[in-house]
Amino acid sequence: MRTLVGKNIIRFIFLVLLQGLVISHIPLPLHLQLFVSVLFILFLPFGMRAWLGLLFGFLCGLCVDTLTGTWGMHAAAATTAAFVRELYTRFNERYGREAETETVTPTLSRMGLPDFSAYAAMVILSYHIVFFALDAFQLWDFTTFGIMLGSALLCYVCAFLSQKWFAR
Amino acid sequence: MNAFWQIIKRHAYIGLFVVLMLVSLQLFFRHHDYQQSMVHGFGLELQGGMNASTQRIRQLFYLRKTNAALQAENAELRALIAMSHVPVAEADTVVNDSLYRQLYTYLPAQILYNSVDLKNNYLLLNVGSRDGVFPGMAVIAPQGIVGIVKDVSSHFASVLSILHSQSKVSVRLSSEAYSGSLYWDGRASDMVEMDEIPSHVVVRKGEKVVTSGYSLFFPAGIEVGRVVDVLSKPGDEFQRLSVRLVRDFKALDRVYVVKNLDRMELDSLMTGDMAVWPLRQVAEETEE
Repeated sequence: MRTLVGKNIIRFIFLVLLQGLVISHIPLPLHLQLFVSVLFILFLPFGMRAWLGLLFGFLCGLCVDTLTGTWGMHAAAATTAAFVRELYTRFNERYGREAETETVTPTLSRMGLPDFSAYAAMVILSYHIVFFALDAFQLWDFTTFGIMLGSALLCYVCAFLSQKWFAR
Repeated sequence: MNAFWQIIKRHAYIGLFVVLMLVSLQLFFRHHDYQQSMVHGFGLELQGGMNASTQRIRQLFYLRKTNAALQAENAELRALIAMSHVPVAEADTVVNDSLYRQLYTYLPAQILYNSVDLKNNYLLLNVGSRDGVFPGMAVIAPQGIVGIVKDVSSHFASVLSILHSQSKVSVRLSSEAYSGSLYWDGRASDMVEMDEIPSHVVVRKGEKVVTSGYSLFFPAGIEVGRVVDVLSKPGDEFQRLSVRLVRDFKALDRVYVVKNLDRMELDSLMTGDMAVWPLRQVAEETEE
């Protein structure tokens, strides 16, 4: 239990700094954006208290906002992602609050491919929808929608590629 | 009653979600409303400090482009110095030294953070109020214009990029006297649009677009870009031009903050409707 808390704190710091100081500075082709900070929320352990999950999501977003100057955008997106994650744990019977007796990290090996891909898609997509909706605001058009989907897909791939690191 | 509390407790997370969302959105709307910059005070200092250290490394990647830009600028300046001028026959002219006086001075600055992928982009510079930078000053690149200073802390300044949905700059065609406004449609980081050119004006592709000097921010005559396309339907009163910027914003590294030495005097004169709108807005927001 204690190691899990420690691991998550390290992930939090590492991902926030990686996002704010490195990845946000690298221009990707086609205006795509890569948000690795969402991985922190994605891999928060199941069975964690609801308010704690939401608060961590919010803090994570707020820290990234402070580093990249996108005030409130990451915070709102991360809070939504954390909320979606919370809803998933409540309404999914296999990984629900009642089913889990202990706190475990939701990884591909533990959840299986169908469950994990659905879970990751929900969390990642909700984050991207909120972020890009706030960014574009009145300028929302088809291109923005495409960029949003592309960025979400990129993040999705990252979620699968970084399995090993989070599973440790 | 006990059951009631149980239900409340079970669903308290929804309440927390709503509260956190409200906090985030409050932050967002306070800072993005329009002409809004990202940071004040503490946030700006923190972000500046962090980015200053990573910038040192990133700078290395742009050395070649920076050098080329500096060289081009040097060539331009060299053309202006006394050495490049031929003296006019002194007998037939009277030289009046006080004919010109300085109106603009330029402060070199380094970009610490530059976003180009969002719809509302900002830059962060390593100069602040300590260096005499104030909100409302223009920022130009060795070639082209960059934006307008929005917020300053003692060491850093945030700049509203022309790649911002609310940005509007007064520009004109180099060959014609007609001025229009330049704004960004939010698509590519090197393309902007120019508006308000009457339809009878014949616009050639490749024509230069320069700053008009009407806005008090930018000195007149800085090249902004070149016309690539005319977007207007027959019957339109005005034509819209698609303009390619001289410099892609992705490759920006060093910029100049323009100080208008007459700014104070102009500010005190230009009140009410006479004042140019962004200037007024910046002033209002600073007062808050």
